[in-house]
Amino acid sequence: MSVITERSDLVSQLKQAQDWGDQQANHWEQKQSELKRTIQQTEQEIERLKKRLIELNAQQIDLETQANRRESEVSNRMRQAISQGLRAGAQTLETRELLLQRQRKVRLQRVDNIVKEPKFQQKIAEFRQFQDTQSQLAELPASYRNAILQHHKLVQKELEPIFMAADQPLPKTDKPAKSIGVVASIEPDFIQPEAMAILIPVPFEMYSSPSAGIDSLQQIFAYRCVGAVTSALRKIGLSEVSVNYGDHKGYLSIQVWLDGKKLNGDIRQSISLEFQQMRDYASELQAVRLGMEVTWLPPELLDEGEEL
Amino acid sequence: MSSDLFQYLSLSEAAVQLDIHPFDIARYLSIQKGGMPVELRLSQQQISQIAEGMGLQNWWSEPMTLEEEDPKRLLVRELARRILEADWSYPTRADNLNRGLSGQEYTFVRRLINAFIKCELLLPKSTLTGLVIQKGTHAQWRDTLEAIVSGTEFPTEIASVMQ
Repeated sequence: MSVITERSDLVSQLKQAQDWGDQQANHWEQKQSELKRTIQQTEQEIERLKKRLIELNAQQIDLETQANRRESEVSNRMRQAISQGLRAGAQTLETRELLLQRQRKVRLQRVDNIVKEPKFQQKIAEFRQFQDTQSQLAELPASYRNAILQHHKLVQKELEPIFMAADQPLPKTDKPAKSIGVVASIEPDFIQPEAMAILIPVPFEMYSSPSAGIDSLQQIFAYRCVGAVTSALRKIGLSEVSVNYGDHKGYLSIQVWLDGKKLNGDIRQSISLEFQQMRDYASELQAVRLGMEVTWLPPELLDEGEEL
Repeated sequence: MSSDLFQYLSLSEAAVQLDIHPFDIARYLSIQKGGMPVELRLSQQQISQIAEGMGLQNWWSEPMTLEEEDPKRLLVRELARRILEADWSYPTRADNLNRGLSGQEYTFVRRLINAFIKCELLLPKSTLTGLVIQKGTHAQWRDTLEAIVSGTEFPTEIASVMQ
């Protein structure tokens, strides 16, 4: 008789435990290989991204280099524009000089026409006689001197139409108006400036070798610019400043050392107002229809820079 | 022609007449009441007013009185004498100190003025109408100038310009 051997509970329990262990082992092995794969994929992705980052960094450097080059190119073009603008301004002054001479002649002709009128001839002769002998008046007896002076006053009064004609502003040309560019620069800022330069399109020789004779338009322009800067400084409370004149590529640079002095106003506005006044009231500039425009630029643009 | 009736001078001509830089006249006129004239031409009367208003002086109009064979030493001693005798109640324009001189004398006295400034016998001050000079802050101002006038002693800064 065969005996059926039933598995003991112990063995069954152990078997179940063994089976569970095998299942778990499979499960975790699967998990691990999945994780390993994911890590590998991630590492590959990181490698790819690192390469991309290197590429992007290189692109950034390239762009920065290009931007710097562009900035430098812009500065060089600005410097070139300043040079061209000053040259054009200087040429305008030269061409309008002929107009100024013409307008002076026109006024003189008008005065001459009045002077030639017969009714003035005798009085003009007396006036000239007085001019010639004026220096000897002091030597004459007081009564005689006073009589001469009184008579001279009467002569002057009768010649008033001539003097009035001579005092008329210069006639205006019918040529189109032109504007002269003036460059202004301040360092380091407008709040507490250390130095200011005003660059005008007249030769530096106007300062270094002043010439005598009838003033040319260039001379008048230079004198009026120097006056405008002085007046502007005074209006913002600067009375003790050092003003020097520099040679900027052959042009005149009016240089003001402000030494961080306290300003009672806006220096830009003050300069602009003075130049505006000069444009609106100066007879010689009005006669040749010449205006001016002040442009404020950073001081580095007035340095030498790279040539294009 | 009518031009001789009016006797107007250009600013450049006025500057030559007054022996001053035309820019300095422009600076002076710009801060006067009414500003610069509408037209830059000046009558003789205006030019005289400018000269007075700017305090223009000719420090070398009077002849030199000191006896000295060396022309440079003579200029140094004469300049010191003029500084000593000047009225320093008010500052004077720097260009007054060499107005009336020309050529090498002018150049030498300009350098000399800088040397006087360096040794504090003169004191410069910038103004809107140009550089002015005041009495210097040298402790022995009078004694030092008197020594220069007599030719017995010259400060180093001045002696170096004389060489």
